Amino acid sequence: MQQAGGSQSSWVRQYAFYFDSSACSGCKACQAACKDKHDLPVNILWRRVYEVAGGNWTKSGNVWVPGVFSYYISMACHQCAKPICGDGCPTKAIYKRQDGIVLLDTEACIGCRLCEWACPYGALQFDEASRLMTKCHFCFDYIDMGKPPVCVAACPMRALDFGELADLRKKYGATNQVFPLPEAALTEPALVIKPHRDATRATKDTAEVANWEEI
Amino acid sequence: MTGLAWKEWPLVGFTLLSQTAVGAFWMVAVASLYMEGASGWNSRYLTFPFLAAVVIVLGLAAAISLFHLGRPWRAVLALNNLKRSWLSREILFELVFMALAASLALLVLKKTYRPTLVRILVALAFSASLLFIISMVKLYMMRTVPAWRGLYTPLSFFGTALLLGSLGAAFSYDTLLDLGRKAPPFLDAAAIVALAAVVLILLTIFLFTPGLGLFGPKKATLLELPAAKIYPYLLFRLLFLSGTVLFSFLYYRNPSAPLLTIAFLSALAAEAAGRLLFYAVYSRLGV
Amino acid sequence: MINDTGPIKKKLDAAKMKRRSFLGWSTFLGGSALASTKLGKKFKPAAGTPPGPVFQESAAEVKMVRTGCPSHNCGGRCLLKVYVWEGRIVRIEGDDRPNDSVEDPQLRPCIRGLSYRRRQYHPDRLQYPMKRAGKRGEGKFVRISWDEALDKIAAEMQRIKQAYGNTAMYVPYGTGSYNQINGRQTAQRLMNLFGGSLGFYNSYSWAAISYATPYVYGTNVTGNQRQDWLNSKYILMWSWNPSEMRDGTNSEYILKKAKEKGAKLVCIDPRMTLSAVALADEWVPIRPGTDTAMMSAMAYVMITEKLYDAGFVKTHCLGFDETQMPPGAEGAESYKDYILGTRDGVAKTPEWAEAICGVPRATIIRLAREYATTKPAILYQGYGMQRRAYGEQAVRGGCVLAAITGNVGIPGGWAGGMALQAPDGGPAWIVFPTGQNPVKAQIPSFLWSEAVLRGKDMGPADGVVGAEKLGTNIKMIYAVACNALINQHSNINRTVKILQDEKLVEFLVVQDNFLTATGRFADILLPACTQFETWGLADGWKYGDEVILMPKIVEPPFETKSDYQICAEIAKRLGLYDAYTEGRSERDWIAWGIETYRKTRFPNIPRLDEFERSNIGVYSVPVTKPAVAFTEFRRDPEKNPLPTPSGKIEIFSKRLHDMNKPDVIPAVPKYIREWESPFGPEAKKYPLQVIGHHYLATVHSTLDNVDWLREAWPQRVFINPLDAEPRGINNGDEVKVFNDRGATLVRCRVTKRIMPGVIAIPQGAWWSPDEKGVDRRGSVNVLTSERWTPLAFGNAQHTIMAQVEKA
Ligand SMILES: Nc1nc2c(c(=O)[nH]1)N[C@H]1C(S)=C(S)[C@@H](COP(=O)(O)OP(=O)(O)OC[C@H]3O[C@@H](n4cnc5c(=O)[nH]c(N)nc54)[C@H](O)[C@@H]3O)O[C@H]1N2
Ligand SMILES: Nc1nc2c(c(=O)[nH]1)N[C@H]1C(S)=C(S)[C@@H](COP(=O)(O)OP(=O)(O)OC[C@H]3O[C@@H](n4cnc5c(=O)[nH]c(N)nc54)[C@H](O)[C@@H]3O)O[C@H]1N2
Ligand code: SF4
Ligand code: SF4
Ligand code: SF4
Ligand code: SF4
Ligand code: SF4
Ligand SMILES: [Mo]
Repeated sequence: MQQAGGSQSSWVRQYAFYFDSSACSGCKACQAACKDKHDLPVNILWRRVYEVAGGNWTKSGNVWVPGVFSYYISMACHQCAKPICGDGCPTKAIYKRQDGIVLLDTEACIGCRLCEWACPYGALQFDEASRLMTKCHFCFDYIDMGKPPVCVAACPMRALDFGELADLRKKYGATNQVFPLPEAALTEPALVIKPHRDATRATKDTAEVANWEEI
Repeated sequence: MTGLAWKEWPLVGFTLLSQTAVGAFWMVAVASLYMEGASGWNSRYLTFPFLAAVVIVLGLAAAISLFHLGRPWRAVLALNNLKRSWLSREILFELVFMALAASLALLVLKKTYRPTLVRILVALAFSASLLFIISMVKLYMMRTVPAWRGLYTPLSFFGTALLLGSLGAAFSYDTLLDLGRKAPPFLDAAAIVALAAVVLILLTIFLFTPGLGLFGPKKATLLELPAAKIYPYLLFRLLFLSGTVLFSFLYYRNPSAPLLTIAFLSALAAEAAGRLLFYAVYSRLGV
Repeated sequence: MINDTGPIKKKLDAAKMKRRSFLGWSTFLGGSALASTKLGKKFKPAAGTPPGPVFQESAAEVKMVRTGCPSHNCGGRCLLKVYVWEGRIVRIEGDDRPNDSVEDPQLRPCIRGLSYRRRQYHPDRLQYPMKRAGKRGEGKFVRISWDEALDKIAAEMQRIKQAYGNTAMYVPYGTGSYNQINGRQTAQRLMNLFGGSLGFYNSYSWAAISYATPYVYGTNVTGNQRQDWLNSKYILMWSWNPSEMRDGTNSEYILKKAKEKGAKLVCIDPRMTLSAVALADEWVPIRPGTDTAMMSAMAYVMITEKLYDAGFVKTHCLGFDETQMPPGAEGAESYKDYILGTRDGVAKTPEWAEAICGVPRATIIRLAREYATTKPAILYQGYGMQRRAYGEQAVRGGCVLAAITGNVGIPGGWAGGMALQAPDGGPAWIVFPTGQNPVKAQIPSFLWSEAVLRGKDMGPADGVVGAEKLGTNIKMIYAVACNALINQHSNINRTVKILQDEKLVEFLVVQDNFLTATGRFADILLPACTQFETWGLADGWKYGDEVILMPKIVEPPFETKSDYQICAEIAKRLGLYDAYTEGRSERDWIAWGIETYRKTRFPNIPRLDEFERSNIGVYSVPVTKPAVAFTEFRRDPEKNPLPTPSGKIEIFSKRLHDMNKPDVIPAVPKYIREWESPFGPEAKKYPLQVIGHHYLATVHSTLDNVDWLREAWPQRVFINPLDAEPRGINNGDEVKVFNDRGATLVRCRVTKRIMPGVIAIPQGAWWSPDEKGVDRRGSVNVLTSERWTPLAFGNAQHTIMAQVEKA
């Protein structure tokens, strides 16, 4: 068992998500599967879907021509190799399991919300009812039973996958950062993304997250 | 996460109060050591009421901070991660500082002290309080929060400590303990520190103002606090800082308790606005 | 109340709920939690991170049942794994059958199925029978006993039958349940045994497409099995949004596979839909209601550039040009005449179309060339563009493009139109026998309000079939699983007035799970149980090669009953109990239904006992050799003629020609300006076109009260920044959307993903009027019009204009 921020070699495996943004329709089945399994109240989304939209309409003659693009990013906790969330946690409530899964011990958490400030993926979410921090735990209970995380199993587009980071990288490449995700170097997320073709067009200046109210 | 930061009131209260207490202690500690009396330190400054006030304000700050926690009754667990967490350290140093200030107070009360012991205690308390503020600064300087990552955080926290500390010390000595006017050098020093603090604070405002600032939230984040939301805070703050300077000056010309009180309260209001803004500009890298 | 105040609360409650007997708390690897805490922590081995209870699927107290997601009219039919503990559904997961493949894909649920517990255990569920207390429509009810309710219904049925005859009774279109045991079919069976009731044909879904397609092909079975999409090189998704409306579970997934195999996909839709984002290589926004103009211009390009399949047209089609006109219409305007403007003087050029559709002419030309030359290709028609003023034209226009490019009857091609799946028309939906309706008269489903107002005089001119005249108005309505009297029908403010009048419809029964907008007008309101609370059986939605078993999973709560049981008990009071039940229980009917499937589509389907025991939930047939519609016809059109009068693909329809209404029912597909359009005078006052698309938040109005869905998909009016800015509207503002028929207040989403000049308010939101009658929930049907399409008498609910202003 490793403290968050411990050296990478001290856990034996690193579980990771694969997300195919090029195939994701933004349908949020993944989000709902997670909510149902964990009985999450409204406002807590361990998995949530960001809608990126950008580009512009231009007038050409008499018609408006769309130069508009859009894609989705479905995100959970990326079980980072450098979980910045745990760095500041005063109670050591956040820790990394031997398989790389970053867990949050609700018996230890005091609800100081420091981790929530720190995580650049918005993965930590405060539960007003229990007054404790919560987060995606990679369905570690199902992992232990040999079953996939429910979000992965739910995706109608089969756009999600999970496995060991090294294997996923071999299979799908090493991309782990597209707009609007932060620089991967910050936390080294255990994530492999297949970007949507329009991801190359998206920058801070050309695109935005268009559905803040939904996440 | 952006927006008006009223919901962070426990943190505003905690940081302002504890920084005031620390700043005031710094003033008094330095004064008492530099303006030595026969005993090797000046008992006119290091009084029991003052030290007790420091401890009480710190205690109050700590109590207020509990309102920030989801599970306040588990607060003791917060000391669990001294190895890595600046929050754990902050709490540790606050406790150590409180303990040292309290023992000083007891010594002063009992008058059975030895000067060296007091000096050592003062020095230790001074260091603990410094580490306390440094931990507080470090805690906010998270890699993922560019708005807090720069010079802004130390400048504002130390600025607050110096401004509210110096005025607070002066205020308590003059108004509460009726000692101030008998020790003009102390007040002069306080005035100089306060003025320096105002300059420091103006600097942070400049650094931070959207459009002008080097560390403005525009730089690196997606969730931007619109300038329209920031400017009212800034205006309010500038107004009350001017008030502080004005009333301090009037007091300097014609010392009277109400003037100093107004100057102190005005500084408090300015810093409260500043702190609310501090939390309001929170915005992290990523999403 | 729903038990999910949060993961932690649940944990604390656990002891109380005696969950420990079967729920093992999370246990960590290697004493992790211990290692992580030292100071002051009382470590309990049972404690965990937020997961809450962890199921042991094997634990005796938890039952996992595979079942169908409740069969609403949702666009899909999916398989759920439902976990039941102490009589309560505690978790819902999706299909996890191994070997997920395109041939036999898992039936993975959408967000609605996965959020279903929030409907199932919603605090507002109807609990007991009620009768109206205030004025009709006021929404005031008092509780009554089942006996009182059922006696009253039986008495009223007899009274109305005597006073007005069976034709005065009506079981309206209502699509809440297709699981056999629940749903309107149970009431239809009752009525049929009671002497019948006024029937209807057509749906709100497919009125124009299902009515117009046979004018081209003689049948609605024009679609290939979906696995054949993988053989296609080019797929025009015209008004088609399967990522959101599914159109058969897995349609979006199979399209993804087709794309992976190299097909190019293009979405033609005024909105940049979920499908456009996930599937399309290109999004082509088009002004609503102008599809036939674009299709015509594409035909123009194909004709002038000789890109069309002249050989196929010659051998398989009718009415393409003057050489092919049917007897009796030799001199009439052919399709080519229309396209080239030979008669009307207007060549349907890309320039002409650009001004109408808002699609750049270069794009039209390019798409025409791509579609005509990339073989084989699909032009798939969604149903949005036919739920419009002249929906029939867009349907036939698409079919004609498919025909003249020779994409009919070949693998990877697509004939267009209704596209029920070959070879047998696909899923049956309802196998529960409603019996013969002794009343032969039928109205188009959309015209029920006309039949309430003036049924007496309605005849074929109003779409009545089976009778020269109805002879009576509708006097009693028995609405089961239907919110289409108010919420889903057009022009809510109009139907509200009609239903309020107790002299028109004298007796109105509504049977539902919730107090819906329609339910507010009930004289008797009956609480139906949900589909988890009775037996059921479902097959695909439009497509699908499977049957899903839906065992009764939990008991009906409160005083709720299945629709079947309610109808059986009314039958008892009418002396029809034995005839109604034929001695069968709900489960028996499901066994009977399975036997029906065995005799038809699925000879190898297991019998009910075995099906149930296996807990597989679904019987599916892998599609390894997808059927292709019109294969035989393609090979030899003389030997295998189509069931059209000519036996050919009727680009020109003599039947339509003979109707002699060329302006609204032309014999060849034509662009006709809609009755509310940006080109008419109405656009001055109401300049914005409004689409009420089908949204992932709901199945129509079903599930609109589910918080998880509204969190994910809030009800908004979607508006382009170019339309929002001049109106001073910012993203998130509350706005008023209005026209002469009504107004709704709803928050907006300013988005570039919709065409300028077009706004969208997803259909389905519950009509929620304030004191002034202004809707507060974004219920689009306060804006829609009751006017019907000329040929199919179908709903044209997407054809409306409105104005938006800041509220
Ligand atoms: N999530 C969800 N799915 C559903 C349902 C639901 O309620 N919710 N309902 C199911 C039922 S019963 C049905 S009948 C089907 C309905 O399926 P459809 O009728 O296909 O669905 P719509 O959303 O009405 O329209 C499809 C698309 O057509 C576009 N559109 C509208 N007008 C025009 C036009 O004039 N031209 C063009 N080119 N495009 C246009 C819309 O923007 C929309 O994206 O959906 C089924 N699936
Ligand atoms: N503006 C606009 N309006 C439209 C459309 C559009 O595109 N635009 N689309 C149209 C289309 S395609 C359709 S199909 C219609 C659908 O219109 P409706 O058939 O009215 O569909 P729902 O709104 O889902 O209403 C079904 C009702 O059945 C209830 N119900 C669900 N399950 C059961 C059950 O097991 N038993 C009983 N007794 N009740 C149950 C639900 O609570 C709900 O009130 O809407 C049409 N309305
Ligand atoms: S379920 Fe799959 S397709 Fe849908 S939003 Fe999630 S990742 Fe995207
Ligand atoms: S995604 Fe956030 S919460 Fe998850 S491990 Fe990384 S930093 Fe921590
Ligand atoms: S909220 Fe809980 S988990 Fe997060 S930093 Fe504070 S104590 Fe740690
Ligand atoms: S892995 Fe499990 S906990 Fe994490 S988002 Fe997916 S379903 Fe939720
Ligand atoms: S598509 Fe229909 S059947 Fe499938 S999960 Fe969604 S609502 Fe249920
Ligand atoms: Mo429909």
